[in-house]
Amino acid sequence: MFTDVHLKNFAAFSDFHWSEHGQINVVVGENDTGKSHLLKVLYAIAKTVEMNAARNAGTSRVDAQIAFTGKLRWTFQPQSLDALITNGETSLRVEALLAGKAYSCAFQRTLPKQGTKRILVTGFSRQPGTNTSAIFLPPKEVLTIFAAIEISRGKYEIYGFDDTYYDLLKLLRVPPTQGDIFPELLTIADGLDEFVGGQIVRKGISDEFLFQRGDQTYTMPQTADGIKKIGILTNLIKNRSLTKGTILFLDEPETNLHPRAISVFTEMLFSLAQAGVQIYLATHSYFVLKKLEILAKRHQMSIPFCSLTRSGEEIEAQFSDMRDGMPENPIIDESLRLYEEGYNVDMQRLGK
Amino acid sequence: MPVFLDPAKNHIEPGFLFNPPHEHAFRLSDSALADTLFKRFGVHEMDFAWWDEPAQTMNLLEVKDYSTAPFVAEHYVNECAQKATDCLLLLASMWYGLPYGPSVSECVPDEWHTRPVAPPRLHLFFVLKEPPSADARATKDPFGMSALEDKVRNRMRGRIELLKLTPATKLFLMNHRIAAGRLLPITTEEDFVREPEPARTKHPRKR
Repeated sequence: MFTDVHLKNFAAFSDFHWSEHGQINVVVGENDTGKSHLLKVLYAIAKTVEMNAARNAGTSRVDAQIAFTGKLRWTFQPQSLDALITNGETSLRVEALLAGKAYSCAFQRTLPKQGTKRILVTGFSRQPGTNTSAIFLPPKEVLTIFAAIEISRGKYEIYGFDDTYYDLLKLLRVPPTQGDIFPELLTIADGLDEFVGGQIVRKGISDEFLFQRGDQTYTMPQTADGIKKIGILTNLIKNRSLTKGTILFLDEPETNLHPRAISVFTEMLFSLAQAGVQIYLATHSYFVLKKLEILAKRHQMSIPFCSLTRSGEEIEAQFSDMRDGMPENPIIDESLRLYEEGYNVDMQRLGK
Repeated sequence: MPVFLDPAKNHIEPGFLFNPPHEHAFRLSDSALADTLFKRFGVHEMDFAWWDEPAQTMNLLEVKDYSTAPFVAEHYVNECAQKATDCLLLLASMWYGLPYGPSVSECVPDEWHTRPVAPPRLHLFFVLKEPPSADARATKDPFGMSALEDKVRNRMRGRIELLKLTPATKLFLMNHRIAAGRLLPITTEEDFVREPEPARTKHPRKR
């Protein structure tokens, strides 16, 4: 579980410090305010820690450096790592506290004729006993574009689908476990299957994903995107990729979902958090926010809320807790603006 | 001694009629404070107030008719926040023993003399009368009213906390139709004057 994050000169974040984290953490902001960047850098840290912990042999400092910068590169796909440094600055620094351990990475912009980039990482060497796993659910569903991701990222290493897609694909290849699943997680998966009236399964000679509803099966192109999105989550639970202790990142989970489905999906995310999954989600949806506000108040559970705004080149962050009510954010402002606009259009039509 | 509203009568506020739920409802603007604090210092008050004995709750209600006027959200939010803030300051002067406290306590029922600490509770209601077409719009923009409530609540949150009222205070903002559904003691003037439909008599079918 993340408990502290500090980004210095990372992309648009000149000095970003998030010190209050919860089981569910919400990030909002207009387009181009760094929501996805924030989720992705946290993901790169957690995934590197997970990968290094899974290695049998010890990880040297050089290995750790390669692992983390490689993860940054394939998660962000910049032209060079320098592109991750804030414009006009010469170096960046990323620091995080994850499961009580400190991790950091710093590097300077490569100057002409300087030669090899000097990268300093700490904490990423193999840590026995570290039990961190990370999953990123990107806005696009991956089941229909499975082969495209596999070929472009896996085989040819072409930029396009970043590692949030590729890592997810690798997890979805894992078949359902024959062992036990935590009952509370199984309840969540069953609840989601029930909501969509079927389940995404792997079948046939080609072991392709199919949506099965009663006696009928549908290929992925025939299946609604919202169902696929929910099916991805249930498959991750059923193959034990998503379990207690997992850090789950969701970028715009509302995409392709009807408001009713958004409400159910958000409630399931809340249940996952209660079951021990740490969640970071970036959203543009008032439905997601309203549901979380209600759940936070009902269960008196802290839901830290990070609202990002852009001021010129700078990104500013405001932090609050949804347990105290809906914080100020641009989604409220736009809803209110639309309300006012609709109101006054009606007035004009009434001739007042 | 507070000036209580006659429960047998409806009390008019533009666009609305307030139906006192019992004999201990009152308007701060009818009190002796009106000539002193309100007029002299420009203190604003919410429209109606009453004590809910079973729920042990002080209720303050502000109604506003925007059914025939252009709506500016920022203006409405500011107005709600100003009236609620002034009312809370007024009551706080009594709860915290400030100089105007004794004058205020003479104008409100005994149950209001103690700071709400859950219980007693304090509910702040804001009711907005929308134009008739608002229902259709609400289906397209279900969060307009909710966003308005969030805005007023956010504006008031710090003030409520500073007066040590957070655990006991709830703020609600709704349109007049929802208010009627929640059994707030108000009706719109249109609803009041509308003649009840005559009871339909079933005529036996001719065989």
